[in-house]
Amino acid sequence: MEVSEARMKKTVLAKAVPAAALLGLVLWGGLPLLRHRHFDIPVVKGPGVTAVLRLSEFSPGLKGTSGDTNVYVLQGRDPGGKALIMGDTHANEPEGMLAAVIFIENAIVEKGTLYVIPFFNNSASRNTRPGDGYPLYFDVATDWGRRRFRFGNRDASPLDQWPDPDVYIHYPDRQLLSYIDVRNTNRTWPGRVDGPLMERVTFGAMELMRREKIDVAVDIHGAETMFPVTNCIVAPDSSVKIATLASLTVKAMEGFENHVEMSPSGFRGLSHREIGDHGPSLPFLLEAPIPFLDQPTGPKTTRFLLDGKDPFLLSLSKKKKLFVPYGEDGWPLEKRVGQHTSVTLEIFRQFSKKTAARPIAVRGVPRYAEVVKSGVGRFLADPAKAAPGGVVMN
Amino acid sequence: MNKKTLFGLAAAAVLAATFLVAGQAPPKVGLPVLTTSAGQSTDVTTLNIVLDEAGITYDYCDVPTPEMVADGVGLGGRESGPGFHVESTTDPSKYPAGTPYKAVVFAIGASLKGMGASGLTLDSEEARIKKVLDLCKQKKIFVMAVHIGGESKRGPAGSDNERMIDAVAPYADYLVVTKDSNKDGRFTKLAQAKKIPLAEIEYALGLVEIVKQVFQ
Amino acid sequence: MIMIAYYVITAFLLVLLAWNFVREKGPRAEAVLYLLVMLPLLLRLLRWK
Repeated sequence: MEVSEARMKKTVLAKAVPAAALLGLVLWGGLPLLRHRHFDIPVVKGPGVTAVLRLSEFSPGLKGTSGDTNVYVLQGRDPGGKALIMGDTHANEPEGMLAAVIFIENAIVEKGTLYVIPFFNNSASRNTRPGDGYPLYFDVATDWGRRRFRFGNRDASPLDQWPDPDVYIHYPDRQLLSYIDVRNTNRTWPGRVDGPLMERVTFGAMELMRREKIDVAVDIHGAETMFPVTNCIVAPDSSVKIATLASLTVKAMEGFENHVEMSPSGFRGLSHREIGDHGPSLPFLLEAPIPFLDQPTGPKTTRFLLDGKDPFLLSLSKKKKLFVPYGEDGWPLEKRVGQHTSVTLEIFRQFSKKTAARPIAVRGVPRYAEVVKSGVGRFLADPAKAAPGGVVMN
Repeated sequence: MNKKTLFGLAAAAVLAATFLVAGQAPPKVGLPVLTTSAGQSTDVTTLNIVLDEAGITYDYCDVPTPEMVADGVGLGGRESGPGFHVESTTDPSKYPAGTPYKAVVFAIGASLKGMGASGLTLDSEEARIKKVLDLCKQKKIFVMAVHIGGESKRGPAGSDNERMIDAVAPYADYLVVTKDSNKDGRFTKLAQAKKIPLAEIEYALGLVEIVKQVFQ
Repeated sequence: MIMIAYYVITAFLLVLLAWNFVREKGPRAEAVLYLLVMLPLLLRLLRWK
């Protein structure tokens, strides 16, 4: 009797120890993910912001979900055309989000109205990719200290939309897409009011464009240096003229390359395809090279995310395996963000030239050379110094 | 001085620099003009947009045959179909259908995807271009060739892009190339050997001023 | 709706595994394997990952 009691004690202990270790592992690994998911990013309402809406006002199915996100409205002094800027469609391509935040915190709209959605796929921006060793946050150095942002993933969190189907059947064209694209807000356009959460997100943006009669929609991304569709503006037939003129102009005036890619009509669900096919807006999808996303690189550190320098890509570049020039300088964040602000402003300028009745005139937003020279942080406001009520959490 | 004025001045400076590089005044040809591609790359879209921007009207056909060119403005009423594109901004009141073209502009740049979409191979594209050029010689139609695709539209000798250059450039009456298309001086040498006037522009946008001079 | 069903399945599997873990009388390695399999299910049920 005594012997079996001792043995039982031993068995309980043998199970309690690994069980405790498991719990420890869950806490150690899980809590940072939990904190990241609930970490909010402050955005300062710049001098041009006149209202902050929620996307759920255009897509009721988003209310109370993490698919809902802020829409910053910058109504100009004079009437004119309307433009929509979206960042974080893919939340692991932060140059789009930063360009959008720069617009919100700096732009003064003289003619027309801007709508800016900096965290378009809010759920994805609260997701991560542990298998690739993604950092959870990154800091941008500013004149007043560091400003911290969430680093997200390409796809929405499965906590918000789960499970994935075996195959994603695109709505409304019924094209068969990869299962994972059901959580990718650049495959779920134009969306539907009662579809999966990510379709409700894109539906919200479509409704916004239809109701507000948006003229120009700019969806800002980053793409691998080993992917041919990088460093470019993707445009369908309707917007290719403006895109080409913008591309030629930035090359001549600002000295950086940004070619135009035609939006294929047979590939559904992409913003540059569906926005124009299902609404009044001219779509433009902007890509800047982000070496961090390439596969054959060193560790995915925040430093690499910011400076875009990698020895493996450098050697591949010498073997002519990359689609963009790549040197010792890498592709730093300043270049990527600066390219995006410049191209966006240039698209507005070209649109205004073509459509004199609906001009969009914006000042206060830095162009490429200024961002490259002064860094991204120079154009980020200090939330601690903002006027009361001047900070919005995202 | 506000930013816009500065930007305008910068634009003027770049365009002025373009002329300095170009060296000589472009020839004056006039309208109507047909734009087309040698190699079916998207550079011809850029060319058309440049003409739009310059306010020059044009007919466009991606794969014209000599018969179509001979039919003049309106390309004999042919319409776009699969693998065949026609567009016309030519003013029919000034240049009614059938008016002979004064010039054909080739945008040089090879794209296997583009040729594939039009059911062409490199060989058949070369043969087609040769026939069109022969007709131009015969009818005394001015041939202008532009290469604005930069290094991405160049390659080692004998490659797709170089074959397209060989097919058109030596037979052109006027060559316009961007600086980065001519990094190795190939067009300079070719122009000297064949005594073809050559304009080297800093950026593709410089083409706007050139086409204004040539066609206005 | 399907999402709720999946959470119910997750919880069910988790209970099953936990029960087996407690009842396991074989080698210690097997007990640890139960724990490892429980890990992702636990994280999803807690909505941490």
